[in-house]
Amino acid sequence: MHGRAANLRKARRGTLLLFVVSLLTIVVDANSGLLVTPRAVLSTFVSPIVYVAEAVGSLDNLVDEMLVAPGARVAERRALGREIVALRTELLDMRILREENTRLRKSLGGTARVELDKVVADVIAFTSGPGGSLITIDVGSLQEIEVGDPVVDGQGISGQVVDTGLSTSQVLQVTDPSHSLPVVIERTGVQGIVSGTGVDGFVELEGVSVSSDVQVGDVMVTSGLGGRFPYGYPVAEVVSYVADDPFRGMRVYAEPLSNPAISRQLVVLRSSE
Amino acid sequence: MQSDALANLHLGMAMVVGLFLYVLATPLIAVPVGYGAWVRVEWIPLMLFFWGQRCSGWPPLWVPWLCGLLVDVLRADPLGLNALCFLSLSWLLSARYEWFRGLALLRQCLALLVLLWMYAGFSLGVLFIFGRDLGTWWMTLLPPLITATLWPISTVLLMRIHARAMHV
Repeated sequence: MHGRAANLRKARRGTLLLFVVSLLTIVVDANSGLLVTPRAVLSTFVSPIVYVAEAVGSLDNLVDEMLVAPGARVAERRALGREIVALRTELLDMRILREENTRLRKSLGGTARVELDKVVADVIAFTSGPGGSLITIDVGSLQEIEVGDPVVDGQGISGQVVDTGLSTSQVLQVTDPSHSLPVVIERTGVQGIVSGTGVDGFVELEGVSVSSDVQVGDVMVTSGLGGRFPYGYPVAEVVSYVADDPFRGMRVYAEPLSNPAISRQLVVLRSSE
Repeated sequence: MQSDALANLHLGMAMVVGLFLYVLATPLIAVPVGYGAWVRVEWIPLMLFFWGQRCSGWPPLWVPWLCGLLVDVLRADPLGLNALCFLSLSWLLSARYEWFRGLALLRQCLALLVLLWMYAGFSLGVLFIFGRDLGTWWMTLLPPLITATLWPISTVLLMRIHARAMHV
């Protein structure tokens, strides 16, 4: 009986300790980067579960693959081959343009554009919680991915890394309300901040004056301000705007060009410096 | 001793399955990702609710705490947030397990709904304090509602699956 009471006291002390530790870790983690290593260690325990779930989740793709007729697969391969040749040719043109651009920048007294390392990652999972709309990708601190690294797909900016484990990272999507990035409208040079609305497929351009020239179909690209997102990456396309909102100026709604749910592959941009 | 080991094995497996289902749920139903991502069951709190009111003092409270830490990593929440919530939930259940067990099934659903909404509300509150924008906060009410609705089916299933563990 005496032993049971002692056990209960011990359990209560243990619970209280866990409460205190939890509160401390919440405060420390939200205000500093001190818990990056414990997070990375914990993520290594979670990674196998995430990988298995992803494998099960993509079983439907496997079945689709198996059901494709051999003839269709050959035709698909030929089409892909042609696409590769066309893209390589385009790449050659791009290299020439890049060199010309660098020379022009130097002649105008500007600095050369920062070269970025590109790390290709597979999308493992999509999660939505009170903390935001997140994408889990299969690269982490082992590949030198850091918090804040921009993430793109073939179409445009998808978001930025907000958490890294050893072999996985969490990407906050551009559509999330807590995500913002500076942009410029390609056609007119009007600058603003694109923020997520929380609604899938929509972002809002803020900080645009009522007299600005904005049209449906305008493409916004990253402005490079703040230094986090490099200049010139497409972000979203204007789908509608309200020019005469008396309280908030012009309200511009846009559709993000990136769609990670379809591409399932993303590229993390790392500064090579 | 053997039944203890068996119960712990069940516990460990159930927690892994809970995490697995949490990750699995979203890619299957959330393409394109949007409001669909909120149509999901809170598996781990559901399991904790089941154990808490069935087996007093079991599992040990460090288990839900550790599980919460793993969920924190999955959701990129401040480390300790879900751990604190799961710990509080398990502690409350272990302290009042007889009351919860004595409730009719419908009232158990309501009790689970209230607990899960408290969990969602606390998480939102903490994130708000630390400066997160909570644009679609009302969507966090949906998973608790779905989880509570599924409680009658899940309790029968869990009782069958974990019948051995409960005899400990």
